Amino acid sequence: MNALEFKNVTKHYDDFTLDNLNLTIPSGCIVGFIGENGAGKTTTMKLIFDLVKADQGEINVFGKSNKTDSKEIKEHIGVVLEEAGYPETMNIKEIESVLSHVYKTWNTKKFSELCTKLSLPAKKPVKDFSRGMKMKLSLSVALSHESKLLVLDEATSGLDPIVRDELLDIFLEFIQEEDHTIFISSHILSDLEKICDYIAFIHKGKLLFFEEKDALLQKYGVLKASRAEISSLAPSCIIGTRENSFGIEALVNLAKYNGNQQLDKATIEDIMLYHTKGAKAC
Amino acid sequence: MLGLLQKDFYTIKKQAKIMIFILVFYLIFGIMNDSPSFFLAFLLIFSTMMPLTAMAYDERNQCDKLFLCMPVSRRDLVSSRFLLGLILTIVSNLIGIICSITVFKEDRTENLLILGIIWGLCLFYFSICFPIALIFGVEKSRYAMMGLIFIPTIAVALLAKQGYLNPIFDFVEKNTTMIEVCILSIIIGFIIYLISWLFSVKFYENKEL
Repeated sequence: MNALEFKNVTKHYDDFTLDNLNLTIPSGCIVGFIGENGAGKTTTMKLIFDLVKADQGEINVFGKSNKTDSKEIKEHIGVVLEEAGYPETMNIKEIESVLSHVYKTWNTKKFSELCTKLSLPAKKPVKDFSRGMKMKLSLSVALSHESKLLVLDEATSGLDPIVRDELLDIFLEFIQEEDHTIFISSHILSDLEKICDYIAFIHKGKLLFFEEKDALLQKYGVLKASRAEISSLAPSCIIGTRENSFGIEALVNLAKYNGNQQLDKATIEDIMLYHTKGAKAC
Repeated sequence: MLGLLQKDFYTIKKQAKIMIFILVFYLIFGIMNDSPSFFLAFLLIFSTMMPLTAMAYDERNQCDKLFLCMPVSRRDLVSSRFLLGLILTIVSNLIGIICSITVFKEDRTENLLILGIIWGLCLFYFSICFPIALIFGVEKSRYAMMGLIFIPTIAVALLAKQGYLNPIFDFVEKNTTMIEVCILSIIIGFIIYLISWLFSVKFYENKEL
């Protein structure tokens, strides 16, 4: 079964359009959602929860409509937003008490265990939490009801490497269940490279690709060469170029590459950068 | 719904303590002057303000967005605030009734009727303020909400002082009793409260967050 499906989803704003998004995320995988600021990542995530209304198209979660079966679906979605969103005057004990009335599937024991594991103080108000602690709290909540899908919007941004590593471990533990899925957006592409099975890349409201991460990394290489050498290549193999003081760097599609120079491995960051900033500049 | 109500109670807990302190001051002031009007009026006004205070906190922390990602509908979210308003005004009324009976022994019936009239006015006030806050945000509409209290109050006070309202007062005095005004105030208050709730739910269901 698919965890999440966007079918022809379009959302217009005055200065931005999420254009005919078609994306199917199978259960049991981690999907990294990448794109520059304003590309449409947060809009896409808001659409899942109907926080913004799609102008056309439909969104299904676990095969059910996000509009008609909204409450049932949300019982099984864990969410971590960029801003935690918990009332700042409340402490963990109070939050636990509130959420036990919000989720039918709430698991108090699991929440307590996670809070202890992540060293979250029970009586400190949320306003005194660091960003890392707020993220850990959000994640603890997301994992304390019967979540099958985690939707994480910039969950690791602004966190130190140690906390990020802790969170990534928790994501990997969550995904051990075969029907569990993670849809994560982040600007820290190295994190996504570590954990993701698939990468979805959105640019100016359009989905440029949705591919398996390993296949994606094998598909491209980075060539460092002179302008003349780059010009001698088949134009179709060059995705994008960037000029620096040492020459030109180009992201090339290995399947179409006709040169004989040594290529460096491309990272997700390279693939994203060349697809946006350096696209066919040369 | 229970979870949302509980969240709002936790959110306003600190504010409520300050309000209780101020109310105790007004109670003592009222006992000393044997005039409970200020105490009874503030009791109900504070209870009307509390749901808007909870809303302001949630707006600042973007709580609504988070709770709508949980098994909570937009209707639940709006309804919980109206329910909170109703619960708080009922509790305030009970406190007011108890105080009127036990502390303020003179003009007991009049005090109870005043309480009823203020209740209707508070429901009316909340019914107007809540949709405004929902549309423009609590912070942006704060001055409009204060204006809604002070402008009519000052206007009525000034007009009454100049005697312009005497015909209306005479008409009311001759043709109605205080108990009728009290009942009418509560009924109109509740009807507008209901209309405001329905409008707010409808508006919020289409709002983009």
